[in-house]
Amino acid sequence: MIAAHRRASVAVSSAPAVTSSSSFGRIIAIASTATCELLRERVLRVLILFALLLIVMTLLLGEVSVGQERRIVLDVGLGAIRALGTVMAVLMGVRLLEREIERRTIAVLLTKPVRRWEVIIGKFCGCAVVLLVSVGIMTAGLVVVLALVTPTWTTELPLLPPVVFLFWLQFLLAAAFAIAFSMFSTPTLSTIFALSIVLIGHASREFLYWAETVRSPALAFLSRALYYGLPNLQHLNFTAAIVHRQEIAWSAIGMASAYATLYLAVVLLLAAILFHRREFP
Amino acid sequence: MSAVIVVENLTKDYASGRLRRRSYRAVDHLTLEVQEGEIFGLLGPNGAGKTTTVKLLLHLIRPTSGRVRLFGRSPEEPAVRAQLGFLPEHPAFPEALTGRELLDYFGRLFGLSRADRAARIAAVLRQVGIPTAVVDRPMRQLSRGELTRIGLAQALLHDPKLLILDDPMGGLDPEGRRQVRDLLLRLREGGKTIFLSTAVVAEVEAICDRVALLHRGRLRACGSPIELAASGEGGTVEILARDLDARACASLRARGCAVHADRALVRIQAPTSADVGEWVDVIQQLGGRVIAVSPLRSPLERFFANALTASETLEG
Repeated sequence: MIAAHRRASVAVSSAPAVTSSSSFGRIIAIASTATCELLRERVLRVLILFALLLIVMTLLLGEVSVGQERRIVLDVGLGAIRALGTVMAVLMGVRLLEREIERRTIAVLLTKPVRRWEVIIGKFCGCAVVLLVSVGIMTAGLVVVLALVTPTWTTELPLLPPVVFLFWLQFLLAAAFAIAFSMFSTPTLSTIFALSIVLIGHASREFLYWAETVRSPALAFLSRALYYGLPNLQHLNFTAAIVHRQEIAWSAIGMASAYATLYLAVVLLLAAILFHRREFP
Repeated sequence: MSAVIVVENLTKDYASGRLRRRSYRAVDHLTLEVQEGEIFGLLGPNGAGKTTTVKLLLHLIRPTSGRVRLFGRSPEEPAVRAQLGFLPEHPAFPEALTGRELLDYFGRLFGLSRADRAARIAAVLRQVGIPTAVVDRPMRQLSRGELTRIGLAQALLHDPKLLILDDPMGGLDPEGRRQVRDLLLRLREGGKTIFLSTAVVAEVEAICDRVALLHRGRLRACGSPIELAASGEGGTVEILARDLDARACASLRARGCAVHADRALVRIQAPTSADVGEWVDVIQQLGGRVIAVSPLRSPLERFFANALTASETLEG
């Protein structure tokens, strides 16, 4: 009884109202912290600066290509956004969890009432927000440069959002692959694997071509399997349309978005399964 | 009282060697229970399997066989983890965050409201004795001792019923150790159950109600520190005396003491299987004057050393 009395007198003072937080609340907490951590990364800021520098340099390229300034700026500028956005996505995806695992900071997080899939989704969402901000900054830089080289730049503006939105989806796919690879591989190998997937993804139509031209049925089967198994990132690339001032149909954007979202769901599910099975000795 | 932690026949093997064909047994058929409201010490030398046991309790690794129950349920369940606080052996937290941001983040994971988080953060910072300036610095700038205190603060943040602490005194200065010892004792008074893993016998002696001795993954002994100490051969005390001649020193050596004479001062290391007072009497009868008596090796330390030697002899 004395023990019970003592217990009551000490415990009551500052006991918090611990409620059962929802999955959504926990994911938001993990995502906002991941965003905060990533935005403090020096490497990210350097990459954004480098992309802006490349976009500004397209002004010089425009100078030497008389009459083609607009095209050069759009082509090279969008190329810079795509290339550096992919590098950012892969680096962030690999570092997000791998660094927590390597420094063993993950152990404390996993003793909190969170499910492992919530950690994966939360971290991924944080990464998605940072990529969105990065894409926004780089696109704003491109618009400024475009305004400097062409008086009709306002006509390009409605075409840009869908193109960069699909770029962003490509980056999310790259980040998701990087997270999945980092579950069972070293950071260097995960980076190489994820970048390889992106490169292959941009050339996956070649597999279909090989499947139709090779004589060996086994090779044809393998080529076809790679074509259907790996993401076809050309579905998400509308750079040519904006360069040639072609209207992009909303249905095409919708189909491309659905394709990317489905692929993202599968890769994140895979990452969550791998993370669930992983031990932290 | 009910059992908060139940460990039954817990075994953990790690694959090792080329092609992972060999296996190394880190924990070997461990069975123990921790009762509500007690401080339970898991004691063992480095490599005994203490940290592996802690990770099995927290479901950070899966057992090869056997099972763990916390509050009668699997530690895999988030609802169970909501009732425990954990401090790792080497506290490490995201380096880009400040201590306050980390505590706020973890508070959100427990569903604490903004006001509750602010109140709880202030309360736990006072409890563990961290200055405000420290919690507002990025984690990468903090010392090991400061990280340990932040680690304790995050473990206490949601007022858990069970605390699992892996070497909570690590990296702390003597004053910090005393503060943490006092804190743990206050928490026990408040009804918390504390599972403490350590290699330092003095920590266990000072605060634990019961202790389990682990060596090479196996449980060698379990009981209260007093019981275990009583079942051993006693400890060793160091007695500083003067006015003892060569004949008196020889007499003390004959009684099993180690005697080091340095001019007028004599340092005597005496086993405490007999009462310390008896040694004082003997020295006085031999014409000496006792200046100081200090424990050199406690009975529990002696028990610990003997148990390890015995298990090593048994296993060859």
